[in-house]
Amino acid sequence: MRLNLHPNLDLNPSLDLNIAQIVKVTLISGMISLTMVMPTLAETVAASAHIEDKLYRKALYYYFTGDFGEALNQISLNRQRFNSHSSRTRLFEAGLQVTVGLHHQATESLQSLKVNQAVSLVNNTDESRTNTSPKELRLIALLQLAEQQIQQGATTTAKQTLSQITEVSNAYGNQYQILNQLAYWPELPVLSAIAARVDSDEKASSRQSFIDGYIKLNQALLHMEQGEFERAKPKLTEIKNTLWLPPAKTFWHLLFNPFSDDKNRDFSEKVNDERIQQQAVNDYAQLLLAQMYVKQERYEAAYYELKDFPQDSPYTESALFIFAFSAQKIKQYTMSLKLFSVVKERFPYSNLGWQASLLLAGQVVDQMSLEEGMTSYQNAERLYQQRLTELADFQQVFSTSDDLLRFSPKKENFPISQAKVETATKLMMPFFTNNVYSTDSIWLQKALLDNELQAHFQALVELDLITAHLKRQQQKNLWLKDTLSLNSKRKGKVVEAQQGADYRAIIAQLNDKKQSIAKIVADAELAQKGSVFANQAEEKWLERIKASKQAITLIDGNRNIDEYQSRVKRIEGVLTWQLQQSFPVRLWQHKKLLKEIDQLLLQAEQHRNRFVVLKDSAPVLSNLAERIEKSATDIKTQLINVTKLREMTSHKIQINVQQFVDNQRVVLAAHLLTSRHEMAAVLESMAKFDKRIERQLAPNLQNKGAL
Amino acid sequence: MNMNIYSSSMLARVNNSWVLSVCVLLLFLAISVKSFGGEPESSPTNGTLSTQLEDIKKQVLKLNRDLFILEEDLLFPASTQVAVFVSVDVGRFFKIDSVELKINDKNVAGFLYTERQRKALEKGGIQQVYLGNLKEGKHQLTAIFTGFDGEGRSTKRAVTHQFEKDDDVVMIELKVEDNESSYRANVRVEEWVL
Repeated sequence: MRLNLHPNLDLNPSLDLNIAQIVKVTLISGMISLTMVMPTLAETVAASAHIEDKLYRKALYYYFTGDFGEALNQISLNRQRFNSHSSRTRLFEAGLQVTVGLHHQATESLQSLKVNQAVSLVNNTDESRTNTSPKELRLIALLQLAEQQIQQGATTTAKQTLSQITEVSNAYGNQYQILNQLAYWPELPVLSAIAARVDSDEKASSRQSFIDGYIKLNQALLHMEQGEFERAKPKLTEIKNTLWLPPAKTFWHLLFNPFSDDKNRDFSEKVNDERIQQQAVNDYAQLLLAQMYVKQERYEAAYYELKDFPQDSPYTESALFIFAFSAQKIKQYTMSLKLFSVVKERFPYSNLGWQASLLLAGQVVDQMSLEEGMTSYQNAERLYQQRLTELADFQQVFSTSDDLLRFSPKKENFPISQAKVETATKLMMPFFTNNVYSTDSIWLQKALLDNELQAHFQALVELDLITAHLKRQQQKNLWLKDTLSLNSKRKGKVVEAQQGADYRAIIAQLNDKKQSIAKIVADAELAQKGSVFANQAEEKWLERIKASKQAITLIDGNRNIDEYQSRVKRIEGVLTWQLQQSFPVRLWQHKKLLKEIDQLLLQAEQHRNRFVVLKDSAPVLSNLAERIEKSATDIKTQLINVTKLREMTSHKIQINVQQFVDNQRVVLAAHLLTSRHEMAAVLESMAKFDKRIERQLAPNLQNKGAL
Repeated sequence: MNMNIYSSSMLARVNNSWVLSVCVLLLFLAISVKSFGGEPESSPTNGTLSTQLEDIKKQVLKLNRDLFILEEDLLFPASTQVAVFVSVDVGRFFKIDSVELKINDKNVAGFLYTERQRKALEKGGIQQVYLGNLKEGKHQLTAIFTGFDGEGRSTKRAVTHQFEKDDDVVMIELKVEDNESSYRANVRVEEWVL
């Protein structure tokens, strides 16, 4: 909590200058000593590296407190104000750019860093002094660049970037391998730096992390895609049975993947997440194994593979369906009936649930009776019709929604409404959100499984945050404008008040005075005249001696004055002796004071000159005013851009949702049609069956008639 | 068959760092399980919109920086600017809780630390705790830190520093440092040389 950061609006205290006062006060103040030290080149370099480190740590503070936007702002300020742009800072900047979703800018930063690092490695410049070696920085930059390129779909460039890596340390080995897998997918990756990677012994001793699991999963998937099921099987079995540990992460890992270690979560949540993650990898491998068996038509193997599949896994739906399907194939009818019923009930809006209804009805027809089968198909038909009606309702309401974010949202989707309007001086507000948009609408939830649509909704959320932020910037800019105007007025008043006094003349007058004193001091030094520096008491004594001498002169002739004269002479002698004794000290003191006066007069002259400059600094203020105006225009432009982009995004969402609805309708219509075809077939079978019974009964009737 | 329903949200939640790999996994699944009547395949995210959004973000960040510099130029010109920073080295013997700053015996700033802010300092971050204006000349800075010692007892540390303000910016860092020999923390003052 910040109690007081901005003290007041005191623009520039030097404007309150009062030269005469300064001269008076400082005449009795102590001497100011200035020590001028010329730094050597080595000291300058060390100081600049030192300050670079401090500025970097300033940004780091914001990063660790979770204020990524402010950290980025600090880096940018450091560069602009202090020319601070080391490789470490630039890599940090790129990581922050990734965090706030500026992927293209991050790519540019990493590209420039890559070039700079090549130079840095050759020249062995300042980077050698940082904790991370230039080699490691280059490696991280290349890996992150490749990751950004893959994310942007530029796999060819990513391959080129990865091929530049010749050596990979343990900490980055897995990342290097997985990026290669992604860049070369669906081909086998070319690991240019594999020889320099970890040797097998070292690798065997290192712990198996989730990342190793992902690498193996990808390898198994590749085998499966190429139809090499026998090669995939041992890999999947190993993944399924391995206890995967959370990977060790460096600062740079966390920076480029900040949400993988959310600092807001407590320890138990983290442990729970790690457990879920481990289970997810195991379950996924198990599901793939079963799926592989189904592809090979080894239904029994698939059935037994999924027999102990956990109920609360993220893959339960798929596993349950394959389990039911396999059970049906190996004629475990009781089991498959139960399982299809469970799939149908637990996932009433999923395609698998819909499909289960049909498969279930088919099995009822086969295993039970035609009537029961007919009822099952009728239930399925009702389900599809109901879904089609709901879908039409959803489409109607969604298409007429003015603000798509207000369409059946979950409460936590609205960080903007929770954001309080704070004072205009506090500008910074995170306008990047890690919360994924979610909704209460079942159909929209299903539609949001499409990454593109999810991204569009996320964009809408971010655009609203940006709008709120821009409005705050607008307030801030207005506040700056008011402040500038107030200070211009204040400055005008100060200038007006100061114009009454001619400081140049006052300083000149003081200078003259000083000159005359200096002359007196110089004459006294020349004549070695101690009385010049007499203090008040001594002055009184001198006055009294003078008066006494005059009195003696007046009474001369009337009285004997010898005694008086000798007494006055004695006193005068003592006083003169005292004055001459203290003469060198007093002379030195006066000279020192004169020197101080010189300095103070010089300072006063400098202050006066500065005041003149500040008085005439209209261009500075007008420059500030221009900048404020420019900011106002820029903010306005951005607000217009945001509004336009929001409209475009909303339109895109509408199109995507319409496509989703159409697709769902097609799927449901197909299921509906199938169910009706099947019903017709059942009816036909029932009719055939009835006819057969009729035929069986008919001869008897005919016989009875004949009788 | 929508095998990717839980997998995508799940893995994205538990580990975003390898989302790409998961995407590949899911892509394969989406293709391979099509025979069961799967979900429609999603097309890649629209480039134009995301690029435009990125561009706006970039502009907003630039505006932030411009306004910050504008504010500093207007309110805290270099000739009068004084900034005070706080850093913590290790923080084993002193868990920082608050800091109070006085310049020339006048309270100028105070800060109460949250757990996260304290940890940010202990991890090497430097916090700007005060930014203000001062006239040229000699000044005195007093900082009073409150916190908890290694055994959880409430404790205080204070430091006084004389400094001189000239035409350049003055930047003072208050470093709370652990002293291994005395098992207590000290506050050291460092003036930054720009």
